[in-house]
Amino acid sequence: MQDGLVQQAQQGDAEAFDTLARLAGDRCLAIAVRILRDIDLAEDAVQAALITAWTELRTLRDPSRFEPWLHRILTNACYAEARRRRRWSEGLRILPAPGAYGPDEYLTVDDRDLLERAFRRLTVEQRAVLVYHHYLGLSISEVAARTGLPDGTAKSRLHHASRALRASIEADARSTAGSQERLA
Amino acid sequence: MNTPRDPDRLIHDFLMEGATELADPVYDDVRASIEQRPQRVVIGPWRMPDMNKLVPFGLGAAALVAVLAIGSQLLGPAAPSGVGGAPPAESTAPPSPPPVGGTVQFHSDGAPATTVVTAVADGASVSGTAVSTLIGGTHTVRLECAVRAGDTWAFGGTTEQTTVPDERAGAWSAVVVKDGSPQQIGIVLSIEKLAGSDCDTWLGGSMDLAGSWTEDFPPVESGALVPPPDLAP
Repeated sequence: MQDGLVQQAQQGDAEAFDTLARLAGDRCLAIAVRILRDIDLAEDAVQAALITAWTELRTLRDPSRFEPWLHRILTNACYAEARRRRRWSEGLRILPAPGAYGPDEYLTVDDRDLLERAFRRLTVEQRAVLVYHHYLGLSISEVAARTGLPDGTAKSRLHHASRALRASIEADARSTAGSQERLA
Repeated sequence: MNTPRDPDRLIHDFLMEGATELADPVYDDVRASIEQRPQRVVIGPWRMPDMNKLVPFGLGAAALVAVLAIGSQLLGPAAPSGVGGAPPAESTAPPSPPPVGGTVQFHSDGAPATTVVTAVADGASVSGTAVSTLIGGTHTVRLECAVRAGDTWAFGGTTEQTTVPDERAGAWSAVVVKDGSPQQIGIVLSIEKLAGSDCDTWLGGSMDLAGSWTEDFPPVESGALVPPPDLAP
């Protein structure tokens, strides 16, 4: 069904593209908000990506590849939004959107705060590979396709981003343990 | 009593949280925006997300099912009379309708390629063929129409037969030429036909000949293509 919609949209059918956008939009938003850590920027990125997808749709040769192709465009839109944010609001701390947290007993409030800070310290390119790998569960080659990287670079970037996050978590754990020992 | 925390699970669970629903106004804004935006017609694998996988194969056929860009070292801005590109005997004789087209050689992704346009024209109505011999195969188009927008013009028609991978007969194809020194040409392969569409409507309405995409066409190495003389600017 999606392939048919892509083909119709490639013929200039805006209605078909609107349907496609609504099928793909939620997942795009979920990706973008996790990369950008800001709901407004994420919505702007998704909107820009969908408009670009429309204008470039005829460059897509295999309709079955629509979603990864769209995600590649979305990745670039996220990079652009991140650059825009840096230009206009350098140093501004953007808090997570209300209600963004889901119920998860494993993550404490402190965990979330720690991870949020650690995640923001990563580059937007590092966040993108983490999101595609951990959130969508994609393989390295699939992550590479969505980020426009060679497989080896995607693997390396994922490794470094994961290591940086782990280091933050472990440093925090050591700090917490030290504080408790001092208190005892 | 601290339980060891699994960093990978923390990262995973952290990323599982967050918004997952795009607001309706965004869809509405997208819809309003695309209604006013034409789609780019260029077909090019260089924008495909799995381009990395094509690299080991030298881009080869996949690169050729795109716009192939060519230009001319021999011809300056094309004149309506076809000066410079057509054989002298043909340009001085008064055949009716006059022959148009020609032969051009170019490189596409490092491989030599040739396009031969053999046609006659009566205004914007064209009959003949355009045969492109590429590394991936041969693509033959039965020409039906031509349009011009400024310094860019195009032959359009139906793909008659093709051995280029992923292309098929029956779809629209076009040879797009950007005049200048050198002349530049893009070959657009196999655009699916809308029911009831005709060549003039497709070529004139869907192809953004005045768009900047034509600037990316690389140059011809030899030969030139001559436009129909009576194309409206």
